[in-house]
Amino acid sequence: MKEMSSEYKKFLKKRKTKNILIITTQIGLLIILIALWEILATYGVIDTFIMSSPSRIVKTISELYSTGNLFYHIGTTLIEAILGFLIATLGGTIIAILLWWNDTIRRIIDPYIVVLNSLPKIALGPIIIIWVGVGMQSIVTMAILIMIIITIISMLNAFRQVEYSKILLLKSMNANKWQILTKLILPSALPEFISLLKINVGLTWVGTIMGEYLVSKAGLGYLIIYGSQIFNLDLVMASTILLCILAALMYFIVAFIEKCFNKKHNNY
Amino acid sequence: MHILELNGVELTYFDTHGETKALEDITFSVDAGEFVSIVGPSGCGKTTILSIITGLIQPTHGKVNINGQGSKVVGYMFQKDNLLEWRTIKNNICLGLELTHNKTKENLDYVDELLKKYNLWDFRDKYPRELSGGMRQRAALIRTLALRPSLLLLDEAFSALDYQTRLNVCDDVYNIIKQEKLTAILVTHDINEAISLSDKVVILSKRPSSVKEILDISLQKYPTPFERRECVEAKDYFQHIWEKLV
Ligand SMILES: Nc1ncnc2c1ncn2[C@@H]1O[C@H](COP(=O)(O)OP(=O)(O)OP(=O)(O)O)[C@@H](O)[C@H]1O
Ligand SMILES: [Mg+2]
Repeated sequence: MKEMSSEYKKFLKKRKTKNILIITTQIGLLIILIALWEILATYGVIDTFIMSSPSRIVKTISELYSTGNLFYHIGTTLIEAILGFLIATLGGTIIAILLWWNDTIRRIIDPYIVVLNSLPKIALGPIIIIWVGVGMQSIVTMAILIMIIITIISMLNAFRQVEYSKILLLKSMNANKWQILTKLILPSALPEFISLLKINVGLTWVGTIMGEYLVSKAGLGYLIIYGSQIFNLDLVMASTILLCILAALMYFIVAFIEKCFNKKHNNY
Repeated sequence: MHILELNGVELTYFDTHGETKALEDITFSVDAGEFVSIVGPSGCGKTTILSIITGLIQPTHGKVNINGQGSKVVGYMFQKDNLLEWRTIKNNICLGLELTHNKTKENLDYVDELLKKYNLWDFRDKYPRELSGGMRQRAALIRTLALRPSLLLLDEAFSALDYQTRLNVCDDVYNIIKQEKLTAILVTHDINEAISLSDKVVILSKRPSSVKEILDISLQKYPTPFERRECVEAKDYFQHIWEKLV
C-alpha cells in the first residue's frame, strides 16, 4: 500500500461519510413510506380495500407461506424467468455468431430481424399459446421472444464493430476463421455481453409476467391477475412486492458478476 | 539472392462503387538483409503492395515470389499496434505463436529474450493501456519478431508517434532489424525517414501506381539513422525524391 497524504485521507473520509448518509437516507425513506402507508390505513385515511396496507401484505404473505403456496408460486415464476433468460441470452448469442460467420445468411435474415424487432411481442401471445400449448412452455417462449431479437442485434453489432485492422493482423499471422472468432471477436464483445446480461435480466421479468398474464395456473403473475379478478388487492400488492424483491435479487447477482469481471479486466 | 521478387504486379479493387485500379505495374526485388523503403503519394497503393506480399490479397496480374525459410516467412507490422486490450503484453506477443501452434519452450524462451533485450521485460505482465505509445510499438514489433520472419513489412509503423518518440523508436527498430539480421520493407510518408533507414528507396507514381524509380542510398559510412538524417548527402537525396514525387 502506498503512503497516503493527509489530504487524500480527508478526501476518502469525506466520501465515506457522504456514502453512509446516502444509504441511511435511502433506508429511512423506505421506512417512512411504509410507516406512513400503515398509519394512513389504520386511521382510515386511505381505503385498504383498494390500497391494502403493509400489515395486510405481510399477513397475506404469511398465509401463502402457511398453506405451502408461497414457494410454489415464487419457484414457478423464478424458473420461468431463469430459463427464458438463459435460453434467450445463450441462443441469441449463438445465432449472432452464426450470422457473423456467414455473411450471406446474415444479409438474407436481416430484414426479418428488423421486422421482428419492431413487432410488439405481446401480439404473438395467442399464436404462441396455440402453437406451443398452455403452460410453462408458452410463458418461457414469450420471455425468449422478448429477449432474443435484441440479443442477436446487439451481439452481432458488437462482433461487427471489431476493428478490421485487428482481423487483418490475425490473418497476417495465418489465423483461420475459428481462431479469429475465439481469439478476437468473442473477447472483444465481452463487455457488450456483460451489459446485455443486465438488460436481459430486466426483460426476462417483463416476458415472464406478460406470459403469466396471458396463460398460467401458477406464479406471481398468475397471483396478480387472479387477485385483481377477485378484487383481493392484498394478494395483488403482496405478489407485486415479492416480484420486486426477486427482480432486484437477480439484478444484483448480475451486477455482482459485472463487478467481478471489471475487477479482473480493469482495463475496460 | 532475392528474398522477394514482384514482377508486373497489377491490382484492381472491385466493389459496389465500381472498380479502382490501385496498382498498374509494380516490379522490384529485395535482397536478403536489405532495408528497402517505399514512398509515394497518398492513396497510391503502398498498403496494397504490402497486403499482396503478405498474401492477404491476390494480385489481379503479375507474379510474387518469396524465397525464405521458417514457418512464417513474412512478418507484417501495421501502422496501428493493434495490441489486444484484454491480453498482457507477453500474451499479446505470444499471439502469433498461439495461432500457428508454435508455443514451444524454445520459442517462449526466444520471446523472453526479446522482451529483455528490448526493455519490455518489466512490463510483460502489464496491459497495453499501461504502456506509452513507443513501448506499444516496440511490443508490436516483438510480436512480429516472435514468429521469426525472414522478411519484415512495416506500414508507416512510426507515424502514430510524436516526433521525438518517433526518432527514438525509429533508431530502436533499425537496430533491432540489423541485430536480428532481417530483411525489411518500410512504407513511409517521411522522405527523411526513408533516406536515413534504407539501402534502397522505391518511388511510386500516383494511382494507378507503377515504380517511377528505384534509388540506391549509399550512406553506409554513417552508422546510425540519426547521423544519416543530419548528413549533407541526405539533402541531395531528399531533393531528388521530392522532385520525383510532385
Ligand atoms: N478494400 C478496398 N476496396 C476498394 N478500394 C480500395 C480498397 N483498399 C484500398 N482501396 C483503394 O486503393 C487505393 C490504394 O489504397 P492503399 O491503401 O493501398 O494506398 P496507400 O498508398 O497505402 O495510401 P495511404 O498513403 O493513405 O496509406 C486507394 O485509392 C484506396 O481508396
Ligand atoms: Mg497505407
